[in-house]
Parts: sequence; C-alpha cells; structure tokens
Amino acid sequence: MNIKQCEKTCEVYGLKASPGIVIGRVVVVDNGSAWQRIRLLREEVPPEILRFKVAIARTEHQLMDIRDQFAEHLPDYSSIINSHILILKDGMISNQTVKIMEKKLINAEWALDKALQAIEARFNKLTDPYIKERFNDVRHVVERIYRLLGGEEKVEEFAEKVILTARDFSPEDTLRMNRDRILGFMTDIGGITSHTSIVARTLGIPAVVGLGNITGQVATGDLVILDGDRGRVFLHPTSDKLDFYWEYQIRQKRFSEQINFYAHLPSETIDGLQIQVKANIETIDEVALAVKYGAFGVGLFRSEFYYLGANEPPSEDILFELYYQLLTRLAPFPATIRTFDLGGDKITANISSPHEKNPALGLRAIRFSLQEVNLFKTQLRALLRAGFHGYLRILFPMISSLDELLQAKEMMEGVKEKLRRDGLPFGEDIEIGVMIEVPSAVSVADDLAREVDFFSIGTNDLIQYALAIDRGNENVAHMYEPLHPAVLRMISQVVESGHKMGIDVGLCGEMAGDITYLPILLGLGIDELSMHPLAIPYIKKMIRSSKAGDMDQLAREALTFSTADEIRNHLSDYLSEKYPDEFGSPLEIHSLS
Amino acid sequence: MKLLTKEITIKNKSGLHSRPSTLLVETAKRFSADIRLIQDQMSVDSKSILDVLSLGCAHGTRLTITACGKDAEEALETLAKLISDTFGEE
Repeated sequence: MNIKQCEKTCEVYGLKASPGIVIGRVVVVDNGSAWQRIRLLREEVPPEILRFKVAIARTEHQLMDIRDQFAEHLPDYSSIINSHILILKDGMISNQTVKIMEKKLINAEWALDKALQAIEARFNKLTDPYIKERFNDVRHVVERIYRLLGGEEKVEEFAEKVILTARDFSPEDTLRMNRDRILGFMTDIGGITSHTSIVARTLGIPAVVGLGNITGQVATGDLVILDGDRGRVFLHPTSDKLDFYWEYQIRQKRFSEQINFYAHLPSETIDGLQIQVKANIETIDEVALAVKYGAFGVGLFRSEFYYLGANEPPSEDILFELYYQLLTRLAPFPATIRTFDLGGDKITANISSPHEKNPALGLRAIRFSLQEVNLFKTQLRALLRAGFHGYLRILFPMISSLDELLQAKEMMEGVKEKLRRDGLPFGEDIEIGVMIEVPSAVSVADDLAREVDFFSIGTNDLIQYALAIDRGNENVAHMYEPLHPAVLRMISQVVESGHKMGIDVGLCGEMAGDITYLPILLGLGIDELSMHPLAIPYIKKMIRSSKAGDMDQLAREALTFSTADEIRNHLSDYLSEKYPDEFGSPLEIHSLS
Repeated sequence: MKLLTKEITIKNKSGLHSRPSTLLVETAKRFSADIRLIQDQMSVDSKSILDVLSLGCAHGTRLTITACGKDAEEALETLAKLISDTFGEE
C-alpha cells in the first residue's frame, strides 16, 4: 500500500449517512468509468448494439443476484433493487440508447451518455426534492452498465480493513461491502435520504456522504478518522487526535460487546425476581430491533403513528394487516397496543380539531376516541380481529376516571357483538389495560384495577401533570423531577392498588429505560418495564446484578424522605455501592432512553 | 376501442417516490392495455418507471389515468385501488 505521509491535518464536513466512528487507511475506488467517444461505420453498429444488449442482460443478472442474495435478510431492500431493474429495462435507457446508436453512428457508451442526459433534463424540471433525488438511482444503474460494458468487474481485495472512498456508491455496492474488510465509506456526493445511506444504516456500516471533493483530497493509504456520528472526516489526523479516537473506539467496542451479551439473558435478579423487559415502538419495522435487543414483547405500541401525516385515517383492513403483522412477527411474545393518542396537537390532516389553547389538557387520547366514535370503533374492530392471531393486550391512554374506562369497555363490547353478527373471528381473551398518567387515575387506581387486567404507568405525562411542569417550557423544565417524593408515592400507590387486585403493573415512560431509576422502580414493586429497544441490554445487565431484597429496602427508605434532593443523594450512594460497573467511574454512565 | 379514464389523488406522504412508482409500474405491466398517466398536460406511459418518476407527483397531486385495450377496465380499477390504498404505506 502506498502510504503518503502527512500533509496538513484538516477536518471535512459532510452528511451523517450512517453512525459509527472508525479509524483506518483509505482506498480510493474509481467506480465512475472512463469511456471514449467513438464514431462507427454503419456496419459496425449491429455488433455494437449486441455488445450493449449483452451488458444490459448481464447488469440485470447481477442486480437479480444481489437482490436474491439479500432478500432473505433485508426484504425491504428488494424493492430498491426491483426499481433499479425497472430503470435498467426502461425504454428511455435501453431502447433510446439503441436508437441513438443507429441514428448517430456512435458507440454504446456515448449513446448511453446522451440517453442519460435526456433523462437528467427531465428530472431537473422536477420541484419535489425527494423525487428529484431519485435521479441518483438512475445514475447508479447507468454506472453499472458502464462497468459491464468495460468488461469484467474487478473485485477488490484488501489486506487490512479499509475505508472505501469514491465519488458515490450505489445501494447494491453498499449491500455487497464485506464487513470483514470494510470499516466504513465516504463519498463526494449523496444525501441522507439516498438509498445508499439507508442501506448503510441498516447494515451498520459507518458512512459520511456529500463531502464535496473528498476523492481529490485523499489518496489510497492515507490514514483518516471517519466520524459517522457527526458527519465529518479528519484527514491526516494528529497523533493526539488519533490516540483520543482509538481509546474512544476501544471503550465503545468493549462496552457494546459486553452489553449485547446481556440482551438475550433472562431479566432476573440475583435472588430470583423476574422482571418483564419490553420495548416501546411505533412502527412495524421496529419489531426486528426489539427482538434483536432481547425484548420480552412490546410493552407499548404507539398506534397513532399510522394516522399522523395521512390525509385520511387508515381503513380497518389496513389496521388489521398492521396489527396482524405486529402480533405474528412478535409471537410468542405479547404486544401491548395503545389505542390512538390523537387530538391535542397530534391529528390527521383531514380530521379537524378545534384550535386548543392548552392541548395537553384538551380533547386528546381516550377523550378524543370517545367523541370520534367511528374512528375508535374502526380501530377496535381491527385490534380485536388481529387479536385472534396472537397475544394481544389493548391499552387505553389517558384514562382519568372510571366512567371513561367503562365507556371504552362498553364500546368494545358493542364492537365484539357486531363482529359476532358479522361472523368474523376475534380474540376472546384479549387483556385490557389502562395507562396511568393522570393524577386522578392514581387516586382511583383501586377502582380501575377491578375493571382491567393490567396497569401501565406513563411517567412522562404523569410527572408533567402531577408537578404541573411543561418540559418544553425552558423556564420550568429544570423542575421536572422523576424523583420528586410525590411521584414516587404515586407510583407506590398504583402498584399497591394493582397488586391488591392481582394485576401486573408496568411502567413505560422514559424512567423505565434509565438505569439510574431501576432499583427504585423495582423496589416499589413494578412488574414490567417497557423502553426504547436500545436500552434493554443495559437494563437487563443492571437487573441481573440486583437483589430484590436490597431494592425493597431502598424504596422503603426513599418513601420516607420529603425532598427530591434527599432521595437523589441516598440513591446515588446506593448506585455507586451496588453497581460499580455502571456507576463506579463517570465515563461509563450511559443513559439511553 | 374505448378509452376509459379515471381521476385520482396521490395520497402518499412522499408522493410517487421509488417504492410506489415501482409497484405502480409492476402492476401496470401485468395488463395488456395501454395505460397512461396524465397530469398537467403531460401524458406518460405507466409502464415506464422513468416516465412515472419524472412526472414528479408529490403528495396531493391530482392525476388522470387512461386505459385502452382488452383488459382496460380491470387495469383502471386495479391501479386506482393501488393508488387510493396509498400503496400500503401510511
């Protein structure tokens, strides 16, 4: 490898295509092809057309191979490659190039370039930036034809792990990058929403794109630091900078290896208390992430995602398909689906909501559902039908009184009756739960407990409502305090009310995924924690080094304090004593919620 | 042969981007009828992905679909349903 010694150290900013920090030597790949303009004699045209058609056919084969190779692991990317195959076979490329060759008597490369320019001119007229960017896909396909027109494609082999650098990579190039040989990649052009960036993120290949003229600034053999987290590259880094990043990289790697080991271990304390650790998600795609990080089911599926941004609410069939997918992909684990929390500031385009001065206290969640009866019934029908095919739990958001819960349940009985008359199968034994996130629900939790199968405490809202703090308001945000004695006592009261009736009490706010609060929450008797999937291994590791008896005592003591500061100090001593891995040194504190 | 037409609105959030365009073209190709998309006096072939993409249909665009041929009626209905079901996207 040609190692060119340091020129000036500098930092080049691009776009964060895919996260991760890597240090390594650059290999500059010239995947743009050099070609010549050649005029042909009339009799030279037919063999030239044949050469072109062979290249098209081979390109198609290559694309199909790549698609089939990855279809099993990455089904979502089949569609990208299918669209590339359609582009390849589109008349504007294949027929047009042949026509130009015949008319102008020029070689295939030149004719293809003319065809591409005509397409570019059409895309340039577009105003929608997202669709306009699809011209990149056309270019990627054409580049591939050029490569095959030029003969066999070289497969690069590298002796050490390298950082690939090129003007651009196609999504197919990215799919085929060998993770044993390639640390990451950087490009001159490209965008964050390009298919190449999406594939890089899915495969976990660190990447920075849109660096301008990075191919002109580095040479093969140069040492660089590629920081995909911030979308920048350090060229010719100083040794201080290198040391810093080496160390950072090692620390990250060690911690993530260690942590992923915990993802699939049981979430059980040393003395045998089992805690259900689940994931909060809002799209079907996230199921894979939840399973990967060891979730014991989905504790909160925020169903409003599929309403937001749509012009019209999704139909019963669309919702059914969605919930069916969720339940079957997750089986045998349960999925808790929260009925839509719409209204307030969150609403679909065509359902008008009156402008509200104070949406947090307005017509939203279950209140909105009980008013927009048809919308609610459609969702309930889809839920009940899907519940036939898996382990479903339905969660009603923002219940503030027993009346609301009874109304919602009555509506659900009506929907069941209708389904029976329609002869449609549905889940008969679906569990029903309520979110405890309004202080009034805490006060009447014992009454609510008689009517449901489980509670889920939504601490984000509960804390806001209980302390009258808007976290978005910078004047009071610092007063948002999960360790406020009122908050802990409320959680304790809910757990007690639930357990008295023999139902499980879960917690699904940000507190659930924060290792700081874990011992207190478990000490208070929480049975289930639901959090961002990435937080699961950290929480599991903590649970596995905890003792239920110690945590009980911690919680009992915490409940006797009258200020948040006292609780915090007490907790902080407890954490550094019991969890040296997490709280022993300040470097290792990871809060991921 | 009769030319059938239908008006439709694109409801997908990001318009006719790659995935929906691909689905639309793949679906159109299953029919023998000549199917065209017309928008703002531009008429394109529904069986060409580049044609469909270069219409640049953003969310909310109104389109006319025309179909002519043996299976025109079925083609029109199938495509209209695909578009109104927002290609299975949210």
